[in-house]
Amino acid sequence: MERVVVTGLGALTPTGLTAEEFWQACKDGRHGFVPLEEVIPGHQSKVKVVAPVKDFVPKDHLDRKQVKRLDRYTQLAMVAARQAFAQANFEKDALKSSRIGVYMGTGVGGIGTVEEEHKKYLGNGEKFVNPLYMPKWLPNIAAGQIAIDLSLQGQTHTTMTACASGVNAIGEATRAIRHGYSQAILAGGAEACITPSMLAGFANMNAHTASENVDRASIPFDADRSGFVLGEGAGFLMLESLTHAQQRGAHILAEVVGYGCSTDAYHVTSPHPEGRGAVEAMEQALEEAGVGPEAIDYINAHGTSTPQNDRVETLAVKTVFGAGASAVAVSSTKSMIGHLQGAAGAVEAVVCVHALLEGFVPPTVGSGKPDPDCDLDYVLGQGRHQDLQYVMNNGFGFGGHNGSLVFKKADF
Amino acid sequence: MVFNKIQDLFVDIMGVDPEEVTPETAIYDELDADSLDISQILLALENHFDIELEDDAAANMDTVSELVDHVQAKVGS
Repeated sequence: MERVVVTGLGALTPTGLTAEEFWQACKDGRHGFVPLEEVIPGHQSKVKVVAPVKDFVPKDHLDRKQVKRLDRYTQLAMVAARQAFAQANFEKDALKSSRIGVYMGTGVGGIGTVEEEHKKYLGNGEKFVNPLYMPKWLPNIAAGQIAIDLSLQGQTHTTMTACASGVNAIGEATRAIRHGYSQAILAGGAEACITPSMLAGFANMNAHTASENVDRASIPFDADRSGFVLGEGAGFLMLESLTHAQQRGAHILAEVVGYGCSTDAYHVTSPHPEGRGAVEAMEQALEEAGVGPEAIDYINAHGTSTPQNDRVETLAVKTVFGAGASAVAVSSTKSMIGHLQGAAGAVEAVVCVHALLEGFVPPTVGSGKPDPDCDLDYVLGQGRHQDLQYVMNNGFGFGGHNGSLVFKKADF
Repeated sequence: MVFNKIQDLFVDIMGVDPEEVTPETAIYDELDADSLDISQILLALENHFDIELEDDAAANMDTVSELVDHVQAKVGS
């Protein structure tokens, strides 16, 4: 079986328009939360704080047709995918494009376009709906558009497992390469759903916090946590077989050594009270990595800042890691960029690779009020230098989907 | 009036600048329009002027003025 390595990273997030910028913000502990008023002026909602990709100007990156025809989720995905592809530095004629694919996760695809066109339909009737409605909103379209943009003719897939989508896309891509179906896959996720109906849905189910304090809205593992903060963005990893990467002399950033996925089969939105699905996903990932829990130096937690997730994820980590749970660093990137839904696992994987490269554990910021149910080392406030060999990335989604990845420091 | 509307639509739908759209401008060769652009423009013209246009009405046209004349004839009829 092929070993799978990472040779490129791309990210557009609320705290940076490249993977490098984003990582710097994570190290500095900077957050990207703003009042909703700055994103949708005048909009009334229980939601007061969100995490947009503020400085993204589509025409700076995309041609005018792409600006007009692509939903924002596809635009974010395309730019992040280009970054990862560019860093991998494929030589044009060495590119076996028929074997390079795109796997991406998204929670809802082009929901902004759906809302816009549905308004036209209700207001004026069928004839006023844009002929480009379908190819603009469909959740699979971003993968297809990336393939067109970069001329990649391998397999494309879209994973839709809600907030686990990004982790699942990377995990499934890893397996496709491991088993020889592809030599290389751009794997990641994208989401752009800070829209009125999404805000209403998340607010009314009390998944989104109603906090107005940008510094204390997304506070994973904190006793006062009251829900996630909706974010947007995209993240991509260029994954490649070790053979392929070495043959072309690529610079290898990290290795993907383990993937696990499972389903709670318990409740559509609540995690299983003992986190049985999360435990299963983490155990599978460790098993595939061929290491015990003691080998893991850092966990980039799903850590959403909802009361249930953070309690159950903590419990699941304790179940898997046993007495060693208190020795492993656990932090939540969502404390800085909010919850990117289908892109969350992908941008958090970008964080994991940077953490390994630099030997630095990024912090959980904003949190601090102790919760007896959340008693692990959450790297509160400030990150720290630490030699890292193995890191884990978790993603759990509505529907009971669970995914876990294990990355290893490159040793080639 | 018809020209102004068509110019606005090319600007809105294709993201071109208004000065790029003159009566002499070649729809496909200069503006680089494709079938998806044209289908959006024709539908918007139908809705705006309350007329019916064939789906392939602009398929064999060259310049913007040909589209203007075609629409003008429908509006006037």
